[in-house]
Amino acid sequence: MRNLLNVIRFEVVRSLKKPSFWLAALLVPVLFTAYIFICAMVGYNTGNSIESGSAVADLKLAVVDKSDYLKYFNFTNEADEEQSLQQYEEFDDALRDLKNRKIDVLYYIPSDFIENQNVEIYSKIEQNSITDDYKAPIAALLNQSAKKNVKTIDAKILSSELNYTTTTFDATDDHVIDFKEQLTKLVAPAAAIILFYILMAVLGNRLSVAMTEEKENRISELLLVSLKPIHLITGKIISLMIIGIIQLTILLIPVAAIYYLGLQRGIIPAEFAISLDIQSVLTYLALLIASYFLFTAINVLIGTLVSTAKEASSFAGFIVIIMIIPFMLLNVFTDGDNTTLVYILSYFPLSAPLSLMLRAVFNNLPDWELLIGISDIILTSFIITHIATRVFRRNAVDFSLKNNLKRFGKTRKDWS
Amino acid sequence: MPVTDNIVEVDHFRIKIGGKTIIKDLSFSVKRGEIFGLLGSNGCGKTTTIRALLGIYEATSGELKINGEKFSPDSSVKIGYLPEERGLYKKESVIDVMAHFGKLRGMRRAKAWSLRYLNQVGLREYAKTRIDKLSQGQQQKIQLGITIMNQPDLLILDEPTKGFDPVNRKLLMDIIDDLHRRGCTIILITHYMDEVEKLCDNILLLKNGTACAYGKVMDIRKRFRYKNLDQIFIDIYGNKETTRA
Repeated sequence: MRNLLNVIRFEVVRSLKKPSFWLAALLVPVLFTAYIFICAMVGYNTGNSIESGSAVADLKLAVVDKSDYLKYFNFTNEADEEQSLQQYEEFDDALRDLKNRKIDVLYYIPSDFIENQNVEIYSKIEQNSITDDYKAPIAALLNQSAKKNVKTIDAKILSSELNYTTTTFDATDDHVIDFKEQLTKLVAPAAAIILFYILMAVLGNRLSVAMTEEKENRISELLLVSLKPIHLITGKIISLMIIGIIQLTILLIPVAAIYYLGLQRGIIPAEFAISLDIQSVLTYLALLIASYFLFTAINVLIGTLVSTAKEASSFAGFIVIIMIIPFMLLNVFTDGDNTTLVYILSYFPLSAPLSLMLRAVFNNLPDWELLIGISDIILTSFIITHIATRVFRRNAVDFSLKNNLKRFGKTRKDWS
Repeated sequence: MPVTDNIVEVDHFRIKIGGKTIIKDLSFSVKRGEIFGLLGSNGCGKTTTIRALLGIYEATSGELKINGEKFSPDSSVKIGYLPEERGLYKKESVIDVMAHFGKLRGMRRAKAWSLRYLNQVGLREYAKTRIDKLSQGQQQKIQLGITIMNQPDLLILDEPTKGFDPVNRKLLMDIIDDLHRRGCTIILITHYMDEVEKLCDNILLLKNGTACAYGKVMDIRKRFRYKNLDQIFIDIYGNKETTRA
């Protein structure tokens, strides 16, 4: 036990000391943050150009409508939302107030507006491009008014202005679920898929070469005299899992911060405010950890069988392909029917992690099957860890893959 | 556990690897406190025997015991082993690697001991240097430090002076001498017969998976008409007829 802790401490500390670890760990959140920032900037600029715009939000606006086009617009009520907007009956009164700085911008809609679609804009701010900036509020106002002017059902259908009321029943117990509830159910398995994929992408290579270092540097013999192989292998697996958890934490902190700030500032719509279901989070966290355990154990086993990092990377790439087969067969899961192929993929340990997560996302996974799936993955991981330990003990000082594979077969015979 | 005179006992050891018999039938023992030479030409099975003794290889048949039991890292006997294929965690600092191996062997003050040793061998200033930044000779000193850091009861040195310059060779000989005087048993695998003549009490010469000579250095020399060990080695491994001791 003492040596197990020594191995874990040594492996974790030396990983954390490496600049490459921090580079890999920070690169994903930095890129993600940059992506969100760029999206937000693009959204902000677009919003400025199509809506009334925050640049004129603080100005006092006035309208003189001689065309009666705004007759359905209730200035008394709706102007409360846009407190700076007021209506004048007479153009001269409005112009006088503009000159006296009681208002900042005056929009004059002449009586021939319907024929000519011309709006006059008056302002007292001395900037060359000022009228460009002031187009947006009146455009928005006219737009709203135009919508109010559409009266017939035919016009509403043509302009897609219909109201929809959606009612969805849960497949398992027929109770009515709302959008938020669906989102809550979806978030944990969807997050598990994304995080597992990131772990495979970011740590895959590190895992695959984790066991070859001892062979390539000729340390195995010295280690075998100093500690039991089970302590080395288990210590490696646990330390790699700790490193993965640290990596995910570094990733999740900025994501959570961006999400929280986005909600607070209204960049993310309020209907996307997720209330997490703790039981669901813990269940899919268990599935994620079990899946990562399996992925780590397989990579460690590969490391015990091969002699160089290059060989290990090749084999690990093959394993990743098998593990992401459910992605390649996505339509099997989206169809919603639990076909034989779905069951095979869900219970074959290598494809089980993503299969279970996908089935959960597409609302097609009963709890009991999820529990069996997690147990299946954990049990397989322990068996692989045991095999890796035996193989390492036998193959630690042999640097030929061919011999190792031969002896691997022999090792299995020895156990029976 | 009954304590016997012999710290190492090998009885009718046989091992087959990849369909090839490496050791046919080997029996020998090493007394506590002695320096024992395990000799033979390249590929005759010296390293395989040591690996089997340390549990790295599984014997096909026979018994290999250290301190009366099959070796395991949890054994009460403290082992220092300098393997033939030796290396270290190249991208880690000297002190981190030494402290790690010290802790694996249950040392409480592994770091302090390591710093004292580095000071002794003139590498104190390299304590925080990455191992791959050191010269080959400096790395050998680190490996030697790791081998002896737990004050071993049994020290197994597999071609310890291979690649050593005369200065490091002298340093190693001094360390072996010091440990031997403190009661440490040493098994030495080497091709340098002058080292064997100077250091070893008993020797075993392996050929074709069996012991072709085994006993005290003087007795073996007497059997070979007082030739020096170099000449005896050439006689045996130059395919001349030999009698098994």
